[in-house]
Amino acid sequence: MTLLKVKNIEKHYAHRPFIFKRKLAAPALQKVTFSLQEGECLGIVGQSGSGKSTLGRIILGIERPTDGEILFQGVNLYDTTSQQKKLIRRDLQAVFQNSYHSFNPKQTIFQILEEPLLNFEHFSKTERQHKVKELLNCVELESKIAEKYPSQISGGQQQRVNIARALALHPKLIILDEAISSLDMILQKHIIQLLQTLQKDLKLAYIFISHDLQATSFISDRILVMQDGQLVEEIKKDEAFKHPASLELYNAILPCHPRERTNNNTSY
Amino acid sequence: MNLGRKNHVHISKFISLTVLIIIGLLGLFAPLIMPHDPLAVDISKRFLAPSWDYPLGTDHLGRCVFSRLLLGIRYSLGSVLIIQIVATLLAILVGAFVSLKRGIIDFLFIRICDILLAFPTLILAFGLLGLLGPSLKNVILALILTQLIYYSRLIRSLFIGINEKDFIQAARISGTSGVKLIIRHYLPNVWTPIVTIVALDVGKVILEIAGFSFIGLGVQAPLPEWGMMVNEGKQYIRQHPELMLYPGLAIVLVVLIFNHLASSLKRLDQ
Repeated sequence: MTLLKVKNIEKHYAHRPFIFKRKLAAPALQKVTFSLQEGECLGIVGQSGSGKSTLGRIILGIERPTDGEILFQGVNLYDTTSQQKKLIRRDLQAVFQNSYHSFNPKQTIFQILEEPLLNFEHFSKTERQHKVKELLNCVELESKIAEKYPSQISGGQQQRVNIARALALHPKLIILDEAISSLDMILQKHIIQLLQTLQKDLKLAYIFISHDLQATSFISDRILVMQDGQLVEEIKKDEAFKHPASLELYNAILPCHPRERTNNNTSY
Repeated sequence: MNLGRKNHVHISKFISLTVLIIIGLLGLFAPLIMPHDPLAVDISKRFLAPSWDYPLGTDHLGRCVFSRLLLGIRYSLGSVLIIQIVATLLAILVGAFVSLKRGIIDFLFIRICDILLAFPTLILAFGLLGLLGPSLKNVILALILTQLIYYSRLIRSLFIGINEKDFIQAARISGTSGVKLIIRHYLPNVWTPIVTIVALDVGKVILEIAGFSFIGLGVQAPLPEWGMMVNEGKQYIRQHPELMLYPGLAIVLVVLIFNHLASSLKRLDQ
């Protein structure tokens, strides 16, 4: 079943404040259209500035598109009552790139994980404690970490807490915006495996936004390539890239050994 | 060396805080401690020198200066507390509202603030007092308004500073909004600069209230506000300078304490 439909999304950033005539700047997104099935993992790759993060923010409702519509389970995200919006909020969660900055520095891990529960569930204090413990177990963290502050735990732990927060409400879709790009390779692999297990267990759908083609192709069922605010190519897992923009990204991956270097990536 | 400096700061903070608490308690229990009725006029006892009966002597109407100073704490410090607390709470409401709404409301708010802030606060308060008429209540109203303009602008900019932070977005995605968002996420991250500035301003506002009373726009005659007492003492500055000195020193002491505490708060923030 189709979970998310993105239709002809356009986004322009206005140059001047509202009191002067609006000048439309170069579009950040142009006629972006795609759809996502339940339980699917969709990768979105592209160079810096290709609009992939903007797309993620628009799907999350942090920014409004200039034009176009987004249907989440058949409901238009930008034409809903606040009641519907709240329900959509539950099913649509996100993990951001900078894990440390996505925590309020004045809250403990317990308070951070408890927040979505406070907003949507009518749990008692003990139920919330139990649930937070369960969430931490889910991302393979010890439950005693709950009393610490974000600054007291490591980057990998922070990112896992971030994932735990996104899981707290049993969403249907999680947008991972460069969620693992700032971690080292071993942690990246570990978190990807964690995400894949969670996906199987909880029937989650992911939108995996990244500039890292390797990690993306490892986790995704389908990959969209973006360039200058447009979708330029869509490929299934293990298919070859054809579009020049995709090939450029592909060739930028260094081979495991310098011997295997081809002409395409000798520019380094 | 470093340790010694730290201790020194701690001791001076401790002393300031203790003195402030003592002054507060004196003001609170003034009616119980006062040796005489601060408003009782007795012309036969004019300008008495300090004695056990009258610890700081009497003024030109034979009223006990010490009792008047004690009761004055309520008027001077009490009105400052009201002004600062009310202005800060209102400013948090206004600042939060405009910083979350943005758009045209925010734009108009900023322009109006700019226009009002172009006047020195004293002149603005003068204008308001001219409209409202002289009384302590109106001085408090006028100063709440001038402080409110300044604070709500400050709080707006502090809030906007963290508007785009990831943790605010993350909290929104977790479903937090409105008042909860402000209490849980905005205020805990901006309260130090707010408290510092509000505390720093206490000295300024005490001086303003005293100033208004001194020129006769604030507290009216028999009530013993410190600025008012300085005003009454000024006619006798040659014969009895102590009548101006006592309330003057009281003002200086309180202002110094608040400035000192505020600057240590500032250091804490840095």
